[in-house]
Formats: sequence, structure tokens, C-alpha cells
Amino acid sequence: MSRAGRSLRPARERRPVLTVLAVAAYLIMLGPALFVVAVAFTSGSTITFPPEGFSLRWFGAAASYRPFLDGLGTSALVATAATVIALAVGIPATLAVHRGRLPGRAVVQNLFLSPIVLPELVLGLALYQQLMVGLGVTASGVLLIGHTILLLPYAVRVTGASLALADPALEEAARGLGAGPVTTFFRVTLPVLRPGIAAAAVLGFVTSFNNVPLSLLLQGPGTETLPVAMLQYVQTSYDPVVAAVSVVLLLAAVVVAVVAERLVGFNKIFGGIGS
Amino acid sequence: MRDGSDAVVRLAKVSRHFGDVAAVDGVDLEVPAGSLTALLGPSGCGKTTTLRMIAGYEHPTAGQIFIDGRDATGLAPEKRNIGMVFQSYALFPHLTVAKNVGFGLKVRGVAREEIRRRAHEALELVGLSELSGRRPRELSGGQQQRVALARAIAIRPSVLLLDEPLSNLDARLRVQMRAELARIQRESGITTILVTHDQEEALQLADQMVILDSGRVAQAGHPRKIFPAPANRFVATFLGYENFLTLPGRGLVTIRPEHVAVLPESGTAPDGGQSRPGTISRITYRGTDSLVTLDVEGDTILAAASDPDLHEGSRVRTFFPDDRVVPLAS
Repeated sequence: MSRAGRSLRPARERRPVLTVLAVAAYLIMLGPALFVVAVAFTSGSTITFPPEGFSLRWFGAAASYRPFLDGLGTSALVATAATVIALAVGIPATLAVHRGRLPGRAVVQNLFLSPIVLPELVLGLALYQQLMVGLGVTASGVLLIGHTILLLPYAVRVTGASLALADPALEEAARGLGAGPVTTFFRVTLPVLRPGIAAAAVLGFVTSFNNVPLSLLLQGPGTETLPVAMLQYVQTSYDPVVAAVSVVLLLAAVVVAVVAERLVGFNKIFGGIGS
Repeated sequence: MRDGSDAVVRLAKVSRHFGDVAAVDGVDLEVPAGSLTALLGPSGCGKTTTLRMIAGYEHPTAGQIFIDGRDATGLAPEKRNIGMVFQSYALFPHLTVAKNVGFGLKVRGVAREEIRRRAHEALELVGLSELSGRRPRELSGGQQQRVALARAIAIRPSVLLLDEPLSNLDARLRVQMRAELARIQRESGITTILVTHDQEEALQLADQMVILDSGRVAQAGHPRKIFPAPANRFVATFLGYENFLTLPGRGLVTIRPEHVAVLPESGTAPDGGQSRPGTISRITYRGTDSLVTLDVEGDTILAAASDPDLHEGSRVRTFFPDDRVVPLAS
């Protein structure tokens, strides 16, 4: 996408085919979202397109619907906590894999990356069986554990990518200049990793916030996340409230993206992932 | 535990094995105070591993390392008071030039005013004091190199360690920085160990040249002592000698091209040397003289000659003066 987007300007005079493709891609991606946005502002009472009139009544309805509010709180809390824990576990793991003399480092790395290939339903079911039923861990506890596991690969992979790009001599230089291992970590390693950590945090938060399968399996009384609440709402009633919530989420995503871009820059955040 | 010698750095039978391979094999070395010692050799000779052991980034599998007379063999790098300049410079990308240079002082708990003063002093020594507010990525390679040098010097290290400091610079800048390096070392008087594969760099900068071959010291001494008298074929080859032949009574010898005389085939041989018949296989004109490639009884010999009467294919007499021939240990 970014390549097509970047070449839009010169394409205007020289590459009509590419321009058409790029516009088509944007339409395919953004079209359904625009449809949802339009529906959210309808004054009618059903999801129809084009919307009938204009009103903000569905936003009001969404804001006063208790399960959505509770879900938003739960989602925000779980996403924040899971992101923080995943980073707290993932960053030292990354350092050990990349910098330490760890026996079987490939095994450790694959272990941390495995949740990405493991079907979430299997993971959820396993957690449900073992932790909730077997050990009697609370629903909110298991939900948090599940989301943390889900985010670990991002924490390890994304910070690992920026660590792999950093000159290993930086840490040696700090040691040579008289800094002990702890000072070196806080004065050099961590600041150098900051863009990677920011990227992992953004990715992790969004991944957790949007997650449905794990949240659905591990839900309990009072631990319904917003996506789960929306899903359940849609199953029983089909009105523009869900569209209104979606618009709010879309807006939040845009805000996060803009803030991340301002803070570290997308190139820095996503530039190193492929390596 | 003091070692009783005046050397700032002393290595005693230091070895570093990686599995079965000895990267460094029983190296003895003394670096006198204020001197510049060059560790020289082709890649894989163990020069960088030796330097990293002095810095504390690698640990010897045998032998001892003394810094300032104290046994530093097992000490962590931060306890050694060394100033290392890395090949990649390793400047901290998140800090300004001034903060990079002040880093070592800051972690030592030096007062802020004192840090600023000494960082400025070090940057002045390398001629970069006006760039103290910049970030490393805003500097050219040569400037980064100077910052790395200033950062290492600012802590007033017992010994300055330079790992191929000029290898990432282009040829013109390299010659310029070489002179700079000599000046800075002289002005600061810091004991310095330089790792390089460039014999010219070592010849020009070093008070002591240590040539390493497969982890062992092949020859050590002042460049003026080593260059005219390489101990063996490895050292001679490394220093750029190309003529190798066996002379009766002298064994394997080497000689610089400008010392080989190319004489007419007929006529009497001069005294004070040995002469051998040869054939000119190639003449390469170089301006002031020509480089003549000769086949001397199967050995390829290079001679610098300015005689315009030499022609490719001519049969000649080559003359090797006794006082110019360097005998080599085989």
C-alpha cells in the first residue's frame, strides 16, 4: 500500500494504471468503513444505505448502553495491562535471545513466537480448561493471561527487529566508558530500543483491543470486552448503534496512528519488522 | 597485585581459544607509557581479539593481562579505565555529541560543570567543539570518528584502544585522519594501542609494531627496526616485499626492488654481492623509473631500473648486493 501511495503523485502524468489500482485498493479497504460511517449518522432506525437524514441519536444510544460502556472499560484495561505485561516479559526475552549467551536460543525464540501460529480458539480453550476450570483462576485473570500470551510475539518480534538493527558495539562502548550492566541497560539499550518498544506497544494494544476469539471464549460475568459486547448486540438487534460504536473505534484508531506517527514515525515503527 | 614493570599494558602468555581454534596463542606484549603500539596483521591473525581482551570484552583462556601494573585479567570492561574507539564508532544515536563525549564522565559521577568543561576540552582536541549540539547521524564519517575519539579521551583512560579506526573512511580522508591521529596522540600523550591491517598506517604512526600471524607474534619492534629487517617470509610479505630467492651461503633472502641491480649479460660481476643470470619478462614504465619483472632461474624478481636500453626478452645479469640482501628465517 505505502508504495502505491507514495508513487501517486508522479503516477498522475505517467502511470495511469498504477493510479487506478491504488485508488481501487483504497476504495476496497475504506469503502465498507465509509459505508459504516454513513450509516452511523442516520436518523432512521434500521441499517440502510443511503442513510435516512442525519442525526447523532445512535451515538447517544451507544453511549447510554451499559454493556458497551462496561466493554470499553474492560477492553481498555485488558489491552493496557496485557501490553505492559507482554513488554515486561518480552523485552528481557528479546535481549536474552539477541544479546545473551543463551543455550537453545532458537527454541526460546520460537516458543515466544508460537502464539502467532497457534489457532486462538485452541489457545483459548486450553486456557479455559486448565486455568479457569482446572485451577479456578478468575475469568478476568484468565482473560488477561490469554491476551498477554497473544501479544508476546509482537513484543518479542518487534523489539527484536529494532535490537537486531542496533549496533552491538553500543553496549560495549558504554561498558568501556565505565557504565555497569544496569546503567548500560537504562542509559543505552532501552533508549535505543524506544521506537521498537513504542511500535510493539501500539501493535499490542490494537491487537488486544480488537481481539474476538480469545475474549469470546474467556468471557465471564463482568469481563466482556467491547468487541464481544458488540458481537452479542448484533446477534439480537440490528440497528445503527453498532455502526456508531464502530465509528468511535475507527476514530480512536486514527488518533492512535497519528500520535504514533508524531511520536516515533511509521517508518521507524514498522521499518524493521521484516528484517 | 603489581607486576613490577613500567608498561601501562602488559600481556603475559595470553591465549584465547574458541573451541579447538586458538585465535590468540601465547602472546607476550609490553606497551610503554605514552607510546603508540600497532597490532598489525591480516584478517584472522588475532589482532582484534587481542585488543578486545585488553578492553575486557573477551577473556583469555590462558595468560594474564596487566593494566597500570595491576592484574586486570578477570576485570569487567567498566573497571579497566580504557578508552575504546570502535570500527563502527558506536556513537550513542539518542545523545548529542556533547552528551556522547560526556557519557563516561557522567557514569563516573563527575559534576555537571566539570563534565561540560572536559567534554569541550576533548572536542577541542579533535577540532569539533562547534558541533557539540548535533546528533551523531547529522555528522560525516570523519566527524563521527573524531567524536568517538573525543569520547574515549574524555575519561582520561590509562590506555586508548583503536580498532581499525581509519578503515571506514575514504582514501583521502584516511591519510588526513592518520596525521590527525598522530597529532592528537602526541598532544594528549595517551598510551595507545592501534589495531590495523594497513602496514603503512602502522609504519607511520607506531613507536612499536607488533605483527601477528595466526595468533602469535611474528615480529615486534620499532618500525625502523622491523621494516629493513623482516624476520621471516610472512613478515616480509606483509610489509610488501615481493622478491624471495635462495642465495648460496645466505639461504632464503628478500630484497627491495630498488636494491636489485640489472646489468648487461656480459662483463665482470661487481664485488660485494652475488649475481645471477636472468631474462626480462616485462617492463612497466612508472615515470621516474621502470619496474622490471625478471625470470631469475625460475624465481620471479622485481627490480626498479631507469636504464632505457632494457627490453622485454633481453638476457641480463642481476646483482644482489650483500648489504642489501635480507636473510629470512624460513
